[in-house]
Amino acid sequence: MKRNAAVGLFTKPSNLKMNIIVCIKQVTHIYVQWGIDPETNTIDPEGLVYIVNPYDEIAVEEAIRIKEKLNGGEVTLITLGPSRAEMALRLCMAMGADKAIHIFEEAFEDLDPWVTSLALSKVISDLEYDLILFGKQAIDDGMGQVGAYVAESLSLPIVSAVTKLDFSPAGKKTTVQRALEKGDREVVKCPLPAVFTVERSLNKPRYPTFPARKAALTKVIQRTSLKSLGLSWDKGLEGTMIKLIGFSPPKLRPKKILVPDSNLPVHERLDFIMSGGIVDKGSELLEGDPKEIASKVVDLLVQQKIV
Amino acid sequence: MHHKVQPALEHYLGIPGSFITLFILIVGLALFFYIIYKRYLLLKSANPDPRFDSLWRRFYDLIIYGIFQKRQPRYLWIGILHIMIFWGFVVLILRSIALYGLGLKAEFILPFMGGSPGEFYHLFKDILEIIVLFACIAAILRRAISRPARYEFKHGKAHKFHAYLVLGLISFLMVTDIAMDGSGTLLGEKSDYWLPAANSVSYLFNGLGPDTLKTIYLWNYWLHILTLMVFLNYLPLGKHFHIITGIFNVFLSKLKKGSIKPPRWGVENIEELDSLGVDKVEDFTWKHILDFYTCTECGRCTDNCPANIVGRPLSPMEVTLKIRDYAYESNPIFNLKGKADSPDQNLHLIGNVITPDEIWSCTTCGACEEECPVFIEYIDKMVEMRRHLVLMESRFPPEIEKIFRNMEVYDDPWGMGRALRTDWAGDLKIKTITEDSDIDLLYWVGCAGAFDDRCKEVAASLVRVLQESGVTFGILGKEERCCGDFARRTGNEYLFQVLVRKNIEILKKCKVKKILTSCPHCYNTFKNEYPQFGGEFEVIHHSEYIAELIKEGNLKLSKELDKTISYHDPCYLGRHNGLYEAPREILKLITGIKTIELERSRDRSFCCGAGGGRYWMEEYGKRINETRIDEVIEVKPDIITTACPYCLIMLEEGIKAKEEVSGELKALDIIEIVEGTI
Ligand code: SF4
Ligand code: SF4
Repeated sequence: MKRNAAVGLFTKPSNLKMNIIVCIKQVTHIYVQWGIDPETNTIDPEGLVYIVNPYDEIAVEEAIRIKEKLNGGEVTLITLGPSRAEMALRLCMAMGADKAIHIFEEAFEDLDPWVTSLALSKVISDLEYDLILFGKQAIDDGMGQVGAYVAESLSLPIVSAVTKLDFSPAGKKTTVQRALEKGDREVVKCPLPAVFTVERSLNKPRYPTFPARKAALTKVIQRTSLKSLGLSWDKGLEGTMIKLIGFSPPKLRPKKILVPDSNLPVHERLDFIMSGGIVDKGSELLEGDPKEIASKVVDLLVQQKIV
Repeated sequence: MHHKVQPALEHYLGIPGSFITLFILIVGLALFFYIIYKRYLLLKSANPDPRFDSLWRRFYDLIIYGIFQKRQPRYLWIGILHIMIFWGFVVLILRSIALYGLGLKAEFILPFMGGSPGEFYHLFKDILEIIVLFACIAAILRRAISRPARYEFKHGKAHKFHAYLVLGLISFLMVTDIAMDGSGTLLGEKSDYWLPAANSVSYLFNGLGPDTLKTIYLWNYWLHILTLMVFLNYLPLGKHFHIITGIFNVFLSKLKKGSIKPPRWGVENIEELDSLGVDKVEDFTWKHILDFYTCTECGRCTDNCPANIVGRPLSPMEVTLKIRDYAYESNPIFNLKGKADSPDQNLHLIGNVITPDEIWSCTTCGACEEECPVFIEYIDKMVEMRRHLVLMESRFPPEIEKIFRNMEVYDDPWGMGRALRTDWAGDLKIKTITEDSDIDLLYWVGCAGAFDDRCKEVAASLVRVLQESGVTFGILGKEERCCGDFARRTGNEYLFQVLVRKNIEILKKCKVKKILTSCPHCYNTFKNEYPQFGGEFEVIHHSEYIAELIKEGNLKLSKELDKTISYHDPCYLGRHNGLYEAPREILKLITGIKTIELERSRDRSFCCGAGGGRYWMEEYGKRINETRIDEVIEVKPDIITTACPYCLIMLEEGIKAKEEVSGELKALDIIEIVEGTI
């Protein structure tokens, strides 16, 4: 039983080869508790963990599945970030990406989406590509703008919140399903090359095998920097249009967690979860003459400890 | 003794008897060694396994468990029968050699077997023959009439026939030898002693003429030595190979329980390996293949396997038998069917012979290994197959992917992160060990103690007891990471090694010498597995440590506790590390406590169901922990105590699921009982 390749339903095997670019971001994942560094207004680095933005991981997975299905083409990763971002690139290469370009920038936290997308577009414009994938948004800042800016600066069509991808066997055209509100879906057609930003439900990223992890260690990462891209950017330059000035953690609210009774059979547990844990309130119709009803009501109030 | 009839001097169709004996001997032995050679080839193709260390210990085990068969009477009656047959066999080997000698050369006598030693041996073997015959018949009847369920082989060809055949062959050997001696007696082979078997049989032959007696003698002689040769050649073909391999298997048994074998012996860095884990027969080590050869099909492992008992699709015996059957079929001794028909030698075991469900059902509790009379190993094999699934194919129960990722990113299976690791300590004012603190004792909290709400209480309780006793100790705080037990036992060796390296680095940096753990899994991993990576520390479990404190008078227990308490042995404390006494001692040292042992306790303890990563996996159908609680209910204690956070959680959940005891029966860690009586 291999991992199911339910995504990317190709009507016919084709000799299409696609070069896919996936832009990823390494994000800081904070769990429940953190402190704010008063000087920078950012999160205190102690206790931070770094992960590949989960949406981006889905984009990488999708690119690899397309490549595996077509039996050809290349998946190239691009990231912008400090030296630790290399970890994210290696992890995605372990998933199966072929190449990576690292736009090295220690102070990347201060970049706004516009500068980021300029840098990415610069790098991309020197590459051959049929498809550019992004995660729908980064879970740390949740802006979700970079994909659109990149499409804009490369004059490409963009489809956001992609939940399903189909390729026409004949030429470079796709049918894309995307998410609307409340689970609605819409299907659109789009010529390639294009930019897609992907939704979580598109696929489930693989857990890399050991040989793949090993192979990823020896793959080449090409390094560049904002400077060498001709974006002579330093802190405070007008390139950055928005700047972080404040940050406040959410108020802690008591969490209501649904826990199905573990003794229930599986299907009932599933029903419970699917229904959002709604339990029938169960009402009772009191019958009898007014006197009887009145006494029953009193009983009930006593029983429920209301009076 | 003087032999009147000399098989060596007889002639059959003009061929002298000595020739016939020689022929049987040469053909028989050639065939036998050829079969052994074939079996050896498969063994040789397998992976390395160093098993020739600690020779004294091995000889000791050989004598205790091999020669004296110490594990046999764990199943009392059949164990005694087996010992009878085994010892009879050992003694009768001499007789067999002597009989072959007699067939080659008239008047043959083994060295030192002339005169009275020979006479005495004759008496001894005569008595043993009766005993063996009796034991074989008893064993046959037992199999035929009471049919113990543990012999069932559900998912493969029945092997029962082999058991009957071998018992029959042994009985036949006894009968022919006794008949020979019986007729010999009448022919004038007088012994100094009254031989119970031979003399009794001779009454049956009374009145027969010398020619008839001679014929009886010779027929039984030839049948005997021929059967012996058939028997010898038959051994390596089925479960009775253990008669030959059993002794070796005991001698070569795994000495370091509790530790999982490295992916490849002799390879330190797994990055040098292209493939990890087991999916083909030759991926196992040669010792594991010897295990397959050796299994006696006694079913004792399965009979004690918690996964099997609750109806999970795992029977350790069947795992062995299925792999053995496949190994024998794909490596035939004579390739009669021709290449095309013989089964694929490169078949993937997982999926074709063994199902992933079987592999994932194992809790690595070690009950099977503890029970096996010939020391067959299971945990390493299960973990090796998991390694293949996880590391090579990325196939595992979906629930544990999250756990793997949690450990990778947050360094703990709960996925809480190091920032939250010390929250449990609250305002207990525990010192943190750093590079330049000189605290000798490190309390390793473990992920359960740090993150699980119930186990946090246990950790806090231990800290209060330590503080009460004036012990200086510290914790690593946010620098502690998962010890890796779960990662290793679910086959994620890569993740395990990443965690181990990080932990060893910080422990060395802080110059930690002595580690106190409250979790038997951390305990076991530090004690038995970290040394594989250069992490040598003195490790002590809190039950041991607290027992010491009480005995030395550093901890005074002043209150009484008027309760009946049962102790549940955690697998990783008991079976894997032999630590059975300390918790029981603590209970004895508290006044008022009445202890009552569970039916399955100590080395036969029943797993709580959480080991081997099972804690994180879905359980379908009947639950192991609830089955355990049923056993607890049977002895009716007020408190069930244990010394492992996972056992505690599992027992507690088991109690909650049982309405009849929920609220009455309490599950506590041993340290909570101690704290309550200070
Ligand atoms: S270790 Fe325990 S669960 Fe695994 S096979 Fe042996 S007895 Fe069964
Ligand atoms: S593995 Fe050991 S206990 Fe299990 S059936 Fe074989 S010989 Fe018996």
